[in-house]
Amino acid sequence: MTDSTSDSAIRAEGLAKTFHDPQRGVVEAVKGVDLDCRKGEIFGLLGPNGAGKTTTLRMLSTILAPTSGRALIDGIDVAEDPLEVRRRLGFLSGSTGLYPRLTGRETLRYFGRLHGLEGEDLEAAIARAFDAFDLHSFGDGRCEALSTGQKQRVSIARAVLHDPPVLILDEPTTGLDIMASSDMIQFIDSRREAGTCVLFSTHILSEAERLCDRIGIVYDGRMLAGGSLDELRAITGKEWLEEIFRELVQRADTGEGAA
Amino acid sequence: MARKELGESFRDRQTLLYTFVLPLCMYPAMFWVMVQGVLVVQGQKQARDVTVGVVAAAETAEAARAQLAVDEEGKGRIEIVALPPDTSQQAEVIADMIEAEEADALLFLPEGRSDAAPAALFFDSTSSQSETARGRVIAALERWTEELRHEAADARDIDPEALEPILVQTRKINPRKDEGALMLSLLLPMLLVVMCVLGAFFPAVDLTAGEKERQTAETTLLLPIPRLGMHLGKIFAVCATSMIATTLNLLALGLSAGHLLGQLAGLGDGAPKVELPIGALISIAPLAALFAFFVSAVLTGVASLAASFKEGQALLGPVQMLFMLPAMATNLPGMELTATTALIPVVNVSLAFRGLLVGSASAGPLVTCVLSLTATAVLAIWFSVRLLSSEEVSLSSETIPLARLFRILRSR
Amino acid sequence: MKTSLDVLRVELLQLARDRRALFSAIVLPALLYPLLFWGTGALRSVGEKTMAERTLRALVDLSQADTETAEAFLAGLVDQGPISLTEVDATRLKDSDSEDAQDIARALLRPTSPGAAETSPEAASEAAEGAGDRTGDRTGDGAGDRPDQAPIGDERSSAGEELEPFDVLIVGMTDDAPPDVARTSFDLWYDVKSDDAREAMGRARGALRDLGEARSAERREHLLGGDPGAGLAPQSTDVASEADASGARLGMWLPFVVLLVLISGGAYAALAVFAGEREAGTLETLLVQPVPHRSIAMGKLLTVFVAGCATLAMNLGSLVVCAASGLMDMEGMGGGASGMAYGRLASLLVELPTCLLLCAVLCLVCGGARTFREGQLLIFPVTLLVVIPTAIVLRPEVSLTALWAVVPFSGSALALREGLEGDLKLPLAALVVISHLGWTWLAVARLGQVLDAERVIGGGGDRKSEGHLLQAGGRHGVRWGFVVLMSVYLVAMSVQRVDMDMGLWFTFWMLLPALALAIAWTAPRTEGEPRRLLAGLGLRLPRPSHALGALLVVPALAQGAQRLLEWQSKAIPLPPGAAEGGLELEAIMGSASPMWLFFFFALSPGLFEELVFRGALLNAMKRDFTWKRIVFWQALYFALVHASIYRLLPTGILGALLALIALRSRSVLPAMLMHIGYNGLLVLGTAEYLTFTGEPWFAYAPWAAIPGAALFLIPPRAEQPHAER
Repeated sequence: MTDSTSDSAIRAEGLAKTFHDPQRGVVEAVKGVDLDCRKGEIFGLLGPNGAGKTTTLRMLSTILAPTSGRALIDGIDVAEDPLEVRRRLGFLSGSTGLYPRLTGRETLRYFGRLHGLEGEDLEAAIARAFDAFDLHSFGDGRCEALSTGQKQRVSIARAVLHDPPVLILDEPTTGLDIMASSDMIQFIDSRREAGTCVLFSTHILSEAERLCDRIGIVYDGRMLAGGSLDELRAITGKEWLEEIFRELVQRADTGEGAA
Repeated sequence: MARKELGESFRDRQTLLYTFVLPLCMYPAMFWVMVQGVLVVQGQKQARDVTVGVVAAAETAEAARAQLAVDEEGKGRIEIVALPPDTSQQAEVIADMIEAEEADALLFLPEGRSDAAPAALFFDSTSSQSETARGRVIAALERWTEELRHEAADARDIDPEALEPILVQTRKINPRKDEGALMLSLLLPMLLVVMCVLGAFFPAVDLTAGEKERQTAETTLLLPIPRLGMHLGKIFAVCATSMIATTLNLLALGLSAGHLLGQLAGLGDGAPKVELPIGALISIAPLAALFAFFVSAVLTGVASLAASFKEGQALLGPVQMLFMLPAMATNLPGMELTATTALIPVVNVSLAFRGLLVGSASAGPLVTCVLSLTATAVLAIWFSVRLLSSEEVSLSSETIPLARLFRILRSR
Repeated sequence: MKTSLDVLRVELLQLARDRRALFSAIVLPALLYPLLFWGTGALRSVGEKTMAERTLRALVDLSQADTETAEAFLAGLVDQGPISLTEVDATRLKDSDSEDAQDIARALLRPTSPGAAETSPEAASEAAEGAGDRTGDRTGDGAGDRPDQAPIGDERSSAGEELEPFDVLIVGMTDDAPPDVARTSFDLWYDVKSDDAREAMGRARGALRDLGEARSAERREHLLGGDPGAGLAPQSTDVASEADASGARLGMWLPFVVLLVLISGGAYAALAVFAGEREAGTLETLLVQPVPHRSIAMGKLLTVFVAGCATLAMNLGSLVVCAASGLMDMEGMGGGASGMAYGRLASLLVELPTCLLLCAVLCLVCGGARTFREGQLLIFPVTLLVVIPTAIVLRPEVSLTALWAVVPFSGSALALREGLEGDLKLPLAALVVISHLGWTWLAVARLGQVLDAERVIGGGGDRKSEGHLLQAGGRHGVRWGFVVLMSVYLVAMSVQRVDMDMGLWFTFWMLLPALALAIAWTAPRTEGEPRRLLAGLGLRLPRPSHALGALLVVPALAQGAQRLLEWQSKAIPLPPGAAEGGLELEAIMGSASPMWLFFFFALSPGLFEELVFRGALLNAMKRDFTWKRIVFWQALYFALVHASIYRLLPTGILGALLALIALRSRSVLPAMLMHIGYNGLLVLGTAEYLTFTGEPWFAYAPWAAIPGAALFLIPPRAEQPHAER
């Protein structure tokens, strides 16, 4: 476990986000998250709903500006140069939709152009994506007519069309059927070899257990612990991820109660 | 059931906003802008100076200047420009002069005035400046004529009044507020229909097509209550929303029309006194309620054919038109609530309301109106319940074309 | 720019593929609008024709008119249209004073009217008599013979019958003067609410006008031996060409058509590209693409513009085709039968920046909507927003001036009308284009924010998003300000109309304090913060120096206001008559006692308007807004609440000043003092109760403003160290 900054793809230090709510006043959705994710590594953010996973990922992908703290994607600060960050980023979430009246190919072409690909480069990238995700049979039909699994494949192709070094996936399997989510898991697994850094959030323990090189446990806007499964076992003294999770949450709750 | 649906639609801030807040704010704002606009325009028009070219021999021109260029309090002046008597009287030449803004209007005063060779006034009807000039010149000339005649009569020791042997006085048998009622009668009945339809529009789409879109239709179907009750509940909910919207709209219009138009009083021959016609509003309430049922049932029925909110809207657009056009037609002069018109839906409500506002409605046609409205409402509810309870409609994931409507109605 | 074009292309592609919506949003209006315009025109002419052909029922009493005049009149009346005449005895009407006369006339016209029976039973029975006299009816056959005298006595036989009301009652009376100077007066009684009655009255008046002119001419010839005013009634010649005239008429409605059509096409597109994107769940994806959000928004705006213009082009095309092929009755549409100058349609170019502006507004509105449905609901207010300023083209007396040119929508509408009339001046047209491009730029500048992620996505929904809620207090103030405005308009003014005294009591001593309390009570607080009502109302003790300063400024302020009003009366002159009719206050001022005036027009407004505006609202806004924004809102609301365009500027300035003082002194009390002083000086000064304003020393009073303003340099009391929690 070397901790060199040079091959870190995603780095967050004390990342926090505050919202204001008329009923509840100030809401601290994320209270300070540190994480470090290297190239070729799959990092899972694990936590219950409302723990702040989505907000964290949105800050990392430049959709939201952090209230405090700082985040670097591929060495670039998200607050300073969001456009450059977005260029190196693939983003996908379980609820991501597609334009119903565009075909898969048109969708890829549109987003390719937005990423600055043009002419033959663009067509070559699309052809690669068609091969990689086997879109040939349906890639020229309108998206509204596709099945969930087919849509998911187009979405994935769209997210990696420009071959980003960093992929951020927000609950990528939520709302998918068994086949589609298994496709998704395979896809994530496959990125490891490509040297991409994948950061994804989930609340499904088995996914995290199976896929992740390292796991971060997020609860109540804080990162409770982060590391490989073995490291987590060492910290908590528990065997299964579920038990580890419980133990950590319990500690956090009692710890807070004492403070 | 109706309560649940109502509760649901009112929890939505947007619906609340458009049912309550918009009508209450829109009318005052609209009237305010209109009234203030009229005041400004009127003020500017009257304060404007105009230039009139007078073509006449020197002496006549002087006389004209004395007569025309009279200063009046709060009004713009008429500037007189004397032009040589040989100025051509050809329209093109004059048009050029007016175009070049040398004068806003040209008045030719021939020597030796007589009716055979009258004065000639040239103006440009498309220029507001010229129109104003024309109005002022004509008024000034009339004053001048009057003065000349009076002088002549005085010289002969004749009462000048005898020169006008026919006097006409138009007198109204109504109190002042009736004029306000008349004005409202041109506005409110149409508004009643339009608002009823608009008020029912969104809830109707929301509770049918919207429910399908949100995929809560099946959940609702599983509830342990009779289907009929549920469908009626939907119609009632739509109807209630529509009625609330209508009432608020009518109230807001009545309230704001009153005092804002008051600001216009004093312009012209006095604005009519507008009062909130509470009596008419109360007496139209039962009819309006029946009408709301009719509208809601029709709209809910049609909207249930659509699969999504967007398509529901597209479908209801033309249906909406079907309601609005007859309502517009009722504003034709001479249309009244008679035994025949009382039978035609939409037209009858609008006419009945109009009649009630001006106080000309009689009992016979009103009763016919109630009967006919009840019949149409019941028919519409039947139609709508029939559609809603058809499986083909309630579970279809696509929009059903109107052509298949009749087959669905016939089946079962 | 490249990004915008990419967005444009893809959006257009999607729009074009949605066939059904394309049809209902773009093609249908193209068919519908011509139909609508033609339909309304046709309906109106049908209505007018029916009325002209209708047989009306007139009651006449010409028994006291001289025979020859009566016959001439009847002949003229019959020429105006089919009418049935019934002789009646209206002697009672001539003797009664005006109030009774109204009842009697009503009873005569409406024979069975129960209302009349209540007020005047005799009149009602008389009316039954009159109505019974039906033997005298005749329908426009030949002129000359007088209606037969009704046989008296058989009228009771028809008592149970439903009696049709008469439309007009004509009473003629010739005075006792010798025949060559005798005058005949005609009273036309009618029911203003009945269509038939108004038509009948119109016909009778027409007949009398013709008769009167002929008789007057005869008299002049006879008495004066010729008309001394001969030749002074001018023959008017309109030098406007036919093309100009038809352009003017076309200009009255084409601006509406252009904007309405644009809305129908553009709104659909705007909804599809903004709300549709959210519904499809693609927005988040789009926002993480490496392109500025602004260029995406621009691309979408262009899409809306193209879609709107396509709709517009189709509509205008269909209009021109219909007009050219004679399918459509251009006369009925107000276009003029022959003279439509197609070349002048080029002035539609002036509308292009306006179209862009409208599209930008649509994008702003639809961009804020989360769903199709929400967006759809917002279209109607936008339509109103656009139609109202456009309505200025309906006033022919308004012409395009530099002032109007910069008013959004009004300027371009007027420019289009003048263009169609053929006298649009290039500099003004350029000003319209430039100013509308300026407005568009303002709108576009905000467009980038529409796709601002904080707002769009926020912490899981708009309600929690940061940009939105950071300003909870400010929004509270703005929202409640609106409520105050509306309750004053709707409730307070209605009560004042019923009874002035009661209305003023109600407004100042009940409504406004209640509103102030409500605002302060519901003001947003952070978690655990105590509710501090007094502070929320701004009721803190100010520095005495600030209170003194506020008072010292008053004379200068009053003088400034008077100067301002003088200037304003030149810029936007008050139409004559509006002052005395509209502002009943002035009438009251003349008669009321100084104490009453001071109480209602200085003390009460000073206390309670301040409590609401500079107290509750200002303190709510103070939480989040910068002082500039507070002053802006204060000025706006305070100006609007006074509900008259002539008071807009003075009250706006006053509102801003009071807000500044309240902010500086951190208390509402100095503002109250200043307001009371200012109102007192102005109101009592106008009513000439304050004699000292005329004294020579008073001319120096405005200079007191300088030390007054200087007093405000003293810093305010420190905020109390409250609630350390």
